Amino acid sequence: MKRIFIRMKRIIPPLIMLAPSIVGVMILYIIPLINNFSECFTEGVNEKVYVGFKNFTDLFSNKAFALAVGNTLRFYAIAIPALLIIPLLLALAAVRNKKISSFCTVAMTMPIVMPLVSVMLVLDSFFVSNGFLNSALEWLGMTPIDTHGDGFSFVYLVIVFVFRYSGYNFLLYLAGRVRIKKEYYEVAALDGAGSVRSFFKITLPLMMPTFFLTFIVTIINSYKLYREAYWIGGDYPNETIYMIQHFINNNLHSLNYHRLAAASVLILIVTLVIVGILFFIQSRVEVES
Amino acid sequence: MKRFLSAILAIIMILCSLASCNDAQSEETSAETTLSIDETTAKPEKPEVPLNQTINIMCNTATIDLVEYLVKGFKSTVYGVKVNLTVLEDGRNGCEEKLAADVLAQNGPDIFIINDEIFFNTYDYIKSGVFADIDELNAVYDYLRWDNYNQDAMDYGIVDGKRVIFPIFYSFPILIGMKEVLDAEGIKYGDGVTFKEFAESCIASSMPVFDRPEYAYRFYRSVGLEVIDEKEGTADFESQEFRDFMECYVQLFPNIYNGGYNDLKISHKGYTNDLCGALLAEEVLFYSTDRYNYQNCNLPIIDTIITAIIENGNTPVITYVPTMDGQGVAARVEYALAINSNTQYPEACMQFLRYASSLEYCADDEWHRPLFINNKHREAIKDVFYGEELEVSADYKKRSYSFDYEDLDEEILGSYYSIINRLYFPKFVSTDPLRQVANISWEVDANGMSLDEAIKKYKKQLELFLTE
Repeated sequence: MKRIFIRMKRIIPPLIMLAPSIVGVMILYIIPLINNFSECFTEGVNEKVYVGFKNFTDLFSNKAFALAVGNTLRFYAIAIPALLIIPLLLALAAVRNKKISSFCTVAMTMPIVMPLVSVMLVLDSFFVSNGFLNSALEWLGMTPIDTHGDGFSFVYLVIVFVFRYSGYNFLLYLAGRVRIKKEYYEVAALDGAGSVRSFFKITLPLMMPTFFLTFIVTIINSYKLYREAYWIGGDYPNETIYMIQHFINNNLHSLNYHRLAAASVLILIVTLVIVGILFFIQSRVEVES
Repeated sequence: MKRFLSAILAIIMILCSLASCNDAQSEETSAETTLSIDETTAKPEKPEVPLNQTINIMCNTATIDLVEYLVKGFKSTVYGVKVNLTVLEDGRNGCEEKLAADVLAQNGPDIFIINDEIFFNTYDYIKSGVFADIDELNAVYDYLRWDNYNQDAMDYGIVDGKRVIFPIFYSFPILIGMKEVLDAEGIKYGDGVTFKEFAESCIASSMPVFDRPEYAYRFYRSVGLEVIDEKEGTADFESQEFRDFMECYVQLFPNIYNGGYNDLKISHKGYTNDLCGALLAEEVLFYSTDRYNYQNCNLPIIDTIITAIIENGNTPVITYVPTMDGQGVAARVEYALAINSNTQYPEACMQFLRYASSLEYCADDEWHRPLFINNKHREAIKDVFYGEELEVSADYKKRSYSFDYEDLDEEILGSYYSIINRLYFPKFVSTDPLRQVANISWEVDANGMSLDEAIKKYKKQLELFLTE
């Protein structure tokens, strides 16, 4: 009895300390998530009816959803690698050269700290139909680009995304790279390893945890893409940049909460699978190294 | 002691975090302001059985004038029902998102105000079963007498087999002008003239005719187009009819009235009349210099303009903007009400609908509104006009204060009613899909896109909207 009392005395105070956070997480995340799961299987707003997997089957046969998924996957396939590689190269360059380092640290963190509207205004001054890019093309005697048209708006969205979020990844890579001791490279150099060999044999393996973290952060940031896409094309943008976030947001407006709940569950499952695969690969890489 | 203090602190933090989770109804956000119609100002004239019920209504700044007027009148007529009025911010974000979030949280208003300025996606609400079946409620409470109302207007409210929308007034794009000017300009108008013929004659004359391009969706309704089918999820933007309409519409852009709101002297090629103030110019298409807006086609305003034309020695013409086929005159419902199927107080809501369609309300608000659905309103005007002392007329006279119908010109009244008798109601369509019509005209006007390209672009967007 005394033991139980002592154990309780140990457990209860931390629990009380954690209680506000637990309550907050429960109210803001766990309960809505459970509610979201239950909404997937119902229909109707005021009178809810159980419909089984109908919302999911509707989703799979919905043309707008198919378009949104296709565009989102296409976007991920191009933007995520770009957002992983460009900041990595810049971080590596920054470690070698102090001038590049100080320039990149300021230039790349500015889009993070600046409000989205300011960032978009800056980019728009280059890419709108009468912006710098088209003026330059006209000056060179070339045909101006319809920056919000079918061909270019997707590219523009990728540019916006990379420009906006490269800073995060750059800082993460920089932190990861700085942690690697100089001595490793000195020893490698004594053994006759060149810079390319050092990169593949020292930098890359030791930065692998940072790389995985950056990957996950990039995926999470990609869910925030809606604001940028909304800026470019509004609720119903050009077909090429109609993303899952548009589908979800528009379905909220049209009171299709059940459909958007089903879509969000699918996204959650896909994200969990991706993150699971990443963790699996990471653990395998760690074991091998 | 430290542990004890920290435990107390933690409990306080929990209580504080719970206290902030207040009831959403009492929450005041920047997006809304809650007004409560003062109970003490209500002087019920016809006490009924007190219901002691509170109904919630949401509106925005564009619709507050109407709603406040309606609610005040309701309070003075119906005893025991309190009304909470919530004013939302204007625009899609202010209205639609707040409304959708509240409805999904089962916290929506009891009565919805349906108007182009506040409600954009009405069909989504109908489809989701948010609006109650008014026929079913009336079978229980029996507050509405259908034979009192304009049957065509009432039928407009039946969507997918259920009476879910209750129109309270409607209008049509009336056209008033000086005959001399219209003839000199070669404007085609009157029976049998199609919209295309009318528009082409306007384009040829280059007279200022109409309002900003964003009103394209109003034009769409006024010319009786029916190419969008929300239920089927289709939009026949490539039909010849729609193309003809859009071609005429975009060619009419140079005819947009660009004068300032207060620069409203009616003067055109020697015909001058400076009687009209800012109010009038915003109300009707006035074929001299004024522009065209569909808000009002009510008799007091028409009479004022016609009187001004006659006083200047000119000949007035009162006619309408033709439909695409030139047959009939397309009416559009300006304001309608719907009841939340989740309301706790359906009886009070039905009482509100009864008041909004009553002769009392028509008489009180007739200066501001075009055509009421209450047939007795028209009968009352006729009675007053022809001097017959019917019961309805006496009651109407007692309440009516804004306009002396006895001064009306018989010819004006005749023309007015001949147009009203030709009115028909095109099938219901929400404002949201119609925005694409406005977008097409905007692309052509502002961005210089060709009409074909604009139609193609927005056809795709509309298809996306309809299939989402």
